[in-house]
Amino acid sequence: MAQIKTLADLQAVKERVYATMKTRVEGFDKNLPQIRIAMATIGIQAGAKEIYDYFIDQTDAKQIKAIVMQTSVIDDGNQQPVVVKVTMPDGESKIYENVDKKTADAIIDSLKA
Amino acid sequence: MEQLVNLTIDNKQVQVAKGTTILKAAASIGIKIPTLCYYELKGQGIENKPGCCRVCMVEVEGKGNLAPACATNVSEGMVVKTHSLKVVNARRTVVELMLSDHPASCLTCAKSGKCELQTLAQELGIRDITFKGEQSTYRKDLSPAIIRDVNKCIMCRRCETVCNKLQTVGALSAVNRGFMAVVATAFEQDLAKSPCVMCGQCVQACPVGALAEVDHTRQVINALNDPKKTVVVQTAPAVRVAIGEEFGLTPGTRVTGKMAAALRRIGFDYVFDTDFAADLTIMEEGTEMLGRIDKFLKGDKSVKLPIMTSCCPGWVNFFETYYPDMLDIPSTAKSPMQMFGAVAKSYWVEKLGIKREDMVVVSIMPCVAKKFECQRDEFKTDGNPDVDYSLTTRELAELIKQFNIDFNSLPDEDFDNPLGASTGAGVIFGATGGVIEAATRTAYELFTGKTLEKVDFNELRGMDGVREATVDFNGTPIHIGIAHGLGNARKLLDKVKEGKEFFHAIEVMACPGGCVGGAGQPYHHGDFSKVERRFSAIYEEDKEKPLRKSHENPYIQQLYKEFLGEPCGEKSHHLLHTHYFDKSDKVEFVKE
Amino acid sequence: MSEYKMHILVCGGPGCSASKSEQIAANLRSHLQQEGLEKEVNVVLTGCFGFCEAGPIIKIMPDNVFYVKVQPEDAKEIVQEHIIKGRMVERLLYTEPSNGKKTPLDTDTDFYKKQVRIALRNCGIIDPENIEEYIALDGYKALATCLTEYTPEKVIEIVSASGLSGRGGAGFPTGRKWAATAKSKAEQKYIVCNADEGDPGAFMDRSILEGDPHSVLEAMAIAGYAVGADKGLIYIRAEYPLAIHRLQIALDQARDRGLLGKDIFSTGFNFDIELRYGAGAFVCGEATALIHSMEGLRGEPTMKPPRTSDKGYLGMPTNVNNVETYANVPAIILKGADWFSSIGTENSKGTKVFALAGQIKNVGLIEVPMGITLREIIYEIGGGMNGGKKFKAIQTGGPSGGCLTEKHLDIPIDYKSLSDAGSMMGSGGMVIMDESSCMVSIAKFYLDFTVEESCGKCTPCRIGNKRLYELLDKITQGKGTMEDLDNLRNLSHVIKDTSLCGLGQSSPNPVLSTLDNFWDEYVEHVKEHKCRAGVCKALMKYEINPEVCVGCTACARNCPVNAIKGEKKQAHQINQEACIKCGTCMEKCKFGAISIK
Repeated sequence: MAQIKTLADLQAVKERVYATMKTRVEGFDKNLPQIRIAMATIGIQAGAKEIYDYFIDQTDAKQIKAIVMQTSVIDDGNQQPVVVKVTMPDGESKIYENVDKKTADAIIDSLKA
Repeated sequence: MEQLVNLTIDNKQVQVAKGTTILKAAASIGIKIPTLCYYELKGQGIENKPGCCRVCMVEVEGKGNLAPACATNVSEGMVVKTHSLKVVNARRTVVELMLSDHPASCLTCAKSGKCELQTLAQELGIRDITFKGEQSTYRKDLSPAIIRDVNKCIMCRRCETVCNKLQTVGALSAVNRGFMAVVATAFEQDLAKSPCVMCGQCVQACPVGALAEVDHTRQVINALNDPKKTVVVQTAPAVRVAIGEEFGLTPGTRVTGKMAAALRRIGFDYVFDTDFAADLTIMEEGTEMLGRIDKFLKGDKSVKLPIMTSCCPGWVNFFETYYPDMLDIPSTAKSPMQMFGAVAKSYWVEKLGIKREDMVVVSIMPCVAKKFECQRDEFKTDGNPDVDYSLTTRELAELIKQFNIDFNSLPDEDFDNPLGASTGAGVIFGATGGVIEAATRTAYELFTGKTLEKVDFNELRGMDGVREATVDFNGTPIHIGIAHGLGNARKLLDKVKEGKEFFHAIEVMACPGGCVGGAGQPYHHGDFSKVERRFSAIYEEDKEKPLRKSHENPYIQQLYKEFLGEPCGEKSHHLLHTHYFDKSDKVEFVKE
Repeated sequence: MSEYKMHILVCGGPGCSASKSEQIAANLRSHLQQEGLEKEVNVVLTGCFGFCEAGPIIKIMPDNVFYVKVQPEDAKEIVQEHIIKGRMVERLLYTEPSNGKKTPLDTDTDFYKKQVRIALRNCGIIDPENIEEYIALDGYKALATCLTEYTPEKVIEIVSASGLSGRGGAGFPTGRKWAATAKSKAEQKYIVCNADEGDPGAFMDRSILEGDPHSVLEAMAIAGYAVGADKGLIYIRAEYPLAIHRLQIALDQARDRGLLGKDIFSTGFNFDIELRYGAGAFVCGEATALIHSMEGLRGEPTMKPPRTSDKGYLGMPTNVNNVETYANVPAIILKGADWFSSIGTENSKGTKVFALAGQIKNVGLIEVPMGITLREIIYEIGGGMNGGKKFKAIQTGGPSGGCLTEKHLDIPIDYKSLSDAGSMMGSGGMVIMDESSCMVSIAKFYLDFTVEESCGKCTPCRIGNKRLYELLDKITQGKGTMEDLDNLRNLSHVIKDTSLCGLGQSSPNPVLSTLDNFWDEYVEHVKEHKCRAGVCKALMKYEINPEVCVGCTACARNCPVNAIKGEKKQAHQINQEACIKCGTCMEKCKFGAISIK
């Protein structure tokens, strides 16, 4: 292994290795909006997986920078499936119930603006 | 300039040098803080100060905990209380705790009346022990010279310090943890199988009865009462300047005459003197020394120098254990005690016309290791030892008391002849440097053929642990080394071994101060000035002797004429010389 | 190194390892390989996550989903469901005790919310056997900064200003210790890391060494630079084989990269570290005893002064700090003294790692800011008492600490407040007890430990603690007197006042604090021969209610000592003298006729 003899050597190792660990350490980029799809049993039953995939496809297609992720029960779990929670980088969040592809499009479009 | 520190102890102002302990600062103004683990051989560089018994605790203003006076240095403005309620309560509780794990067998304890824990309990007015509970149980360990009753160990570590620091023997150290912690041998094996050299300094240092010499008084009493036996006693030089202490006399009081009288009253058939044999030793060892030096000076490369003295049994055990590669260096001359035994059980039985089995030779020694020495196989003929029993100075005192003898009112009496006559040279065997000085007095005259005018070799005397001097043998410088305390001997020996220094002759005594500081002497409890006073007394005794050179002893001359022939001759070789054994396996065992 | 899309972090802490977390990691890897995902998903065996209650734990990043009580057999489902299908394995999610909800994110749990991780910053994130991952998280940057930008004095100044103090127990200011060692003039000085973690139940140092060994190595090198030492020694107990293994790997890698050894960062500074193994004696955590042990002597303390900063290892000036203390240092250098000192209280700065144990829901390893209350620790981080039982006492500071009660729960924790309350910070043990704990027995338990672990050097600790234990034992046997209680207190004070080292000076704390806080319980044992917690067997009595007993003989047949007599279909009786109080009869009785009095 190459010796680390200067601060620059150290920095180089840091940058190279950190790149491979970034997602591990930071999780998702906190400056991006997060779209959480409830994927508890009821959600999946009601087609949440389909909606989850749709979000991933559409955000890619429309080049929207957002994190699409799954979660279990959102808040107290009283909402109707399919539930989606959108959290903005400033912490503001909104919960959508009975989300279908149409509502999904609307949500994605709202992020565009 | 020494930096001075002002402090207050029990409302008294005191000024002492920086680095002084509270204990010593207090002592300087007459405040005697009790101690137990603390043990100092002043001037010998030995101080046991583990601060572990917690008896000398004092209150230092501004400190939450109590401080051990023995191990806490003074500081400017310090305010110390040595008898506040907190201190008194703590000290008492600590001693009670010690007593709660100590057999209450004072009545039959070897140290009873001389036990520092007993004294402390008495002084603190302890009449009941609040805490009762489990007591440690260990087996008793009996070696030929020393008995260990570990149940009595209070973990003061004094024995450990003398064994490891003073003697560098390394037979004893603390083992186990917590409540089971005691000082013991490695793997708690028998002391006899350990590297112990039986010097007994641990016995001298032990404040309680955990370490004591093996008692042989009963065997001696039996022999005295056996009508078939002729019982002969010999007394080592250092006994006469110390035994008075057991009868309340000041250390260094010479009681040679009273001692002879007491021995006679006890019933010994012949009261002889080891000093006679010391003179004999000089004849043998001095001749051997001169022979080697003579060969050396003539260019014989095979000759072994330095020649080392071999009268001290602790020292003999030490070099057999730690310097097995140097077994050919010490003089082959037996110790005075063994020479005496050999002569008594050959020459004297012949004179008396009795069988050697019917003679019992008892020696009174300042020494614990002598008990082992007289049991060595090479000092026996058909199983019968040359010296049957060796008693310590302390045991003799007990014997005198048991025989209802009021020691202090005894008249002075002389030793019996012929084996009781001695010169001043025989006397000084009892102090460090004495053997080599005695040898020098004789060797000088034999070597130079001239009469020695100045008998006192002050350059060989003193209390420094390692001393070196060059004596002028009429133009030939003879380099002499002296060590007392086995740690000092080790230093000297290592120098010789590494070729750093050359000596013609070396004297070694295992105990600090030589035999006057022997382990069989009255307990000095860490007051080394007692040993120093005995030391001075030895030289006073020498000075008063009409004859001060061994070869001038007429009875020695007679012995050679009638019986032995010549020094280092065939008969002496057989009777008065010995050989040594490699005992390094004892150390190897520990190392594993 | 390819870029991974996902990371599965598997806790390799002591608890999770014991529950086969290595097997879990292996199974995950093999399932990923079967699916051809080994290049996309990285499985990392990390150091301790701290949440031992729910172990073995794995965490999936970047989803930030964590699964608890995972078994090796679960690996397949995790790969199939979560990794491939993108569906969470719901049954492995953590249920928050406060609201009963499944929580996928560790950051959302009460257990982690209040924690501030400085010493444990990398534990559970990096692979401790890979120096590059440590470097990736700014590892060795603090050392580089010190060597290239700061003078040794400046380094000590930063550490002093941060207010960092010894995390091993006594809380001595670290900066002052460094300054003292720096001031001592000698040809050779040493940096020693005390990894002789000995409190029963404590595993913070172990977790740091296993989870982030380089943080300690880096800090030791920084200390070496600050005080002028080029040699470091880690005194670690041989009972920590994994920590030793990871340290060895870390040392090899650091040397390999030139971060230890000669001319570090081309500054001419040399520093290297050796491991020294201890045999696990509790007292060897005391600095002087530790040094004696390293020198091959008997592990027992000696009087101070001289302090180790003047005369330590081989008689040379030696700086001794504990693992957790060192682990804080690189963070302090990088983020600054002000940042560190802004965390904590007036007299105690930064954070402290605690090992939570006992009757609470979430046991584990936590790092909290100084000044947090015991209540927050117990009820928020700890999730409250187990089984809805009532809180009775909390023991802090290990065997040298004391038992605190309800009334102490709202004091902000720091060195001073804990010691004022009659306990201590110690190295960070924390045992929470409910009503089922007998406080006399608790005191006895800790004394039993001290009696075993005392080195036996000084009288009060050697014999005094034994007598304390015996008095406590007598009381739990129902044979104690009121005089014994006085003796217990007096003896405790004498042991504290007269013992040679910190072990004995603090060993009576469990006795004194329980005497103070649970006096009634002691008196009950003595006067009424009653143990309210039902722990002291000698004070218990099994009785058969003759009105309920139907004489089925089940109890009599099962009694191992034949202490129950009675005719069939008639009420039975227990011979109390023969009864060994094993409880079998009560267990076997189907009619509830047997009870404890």
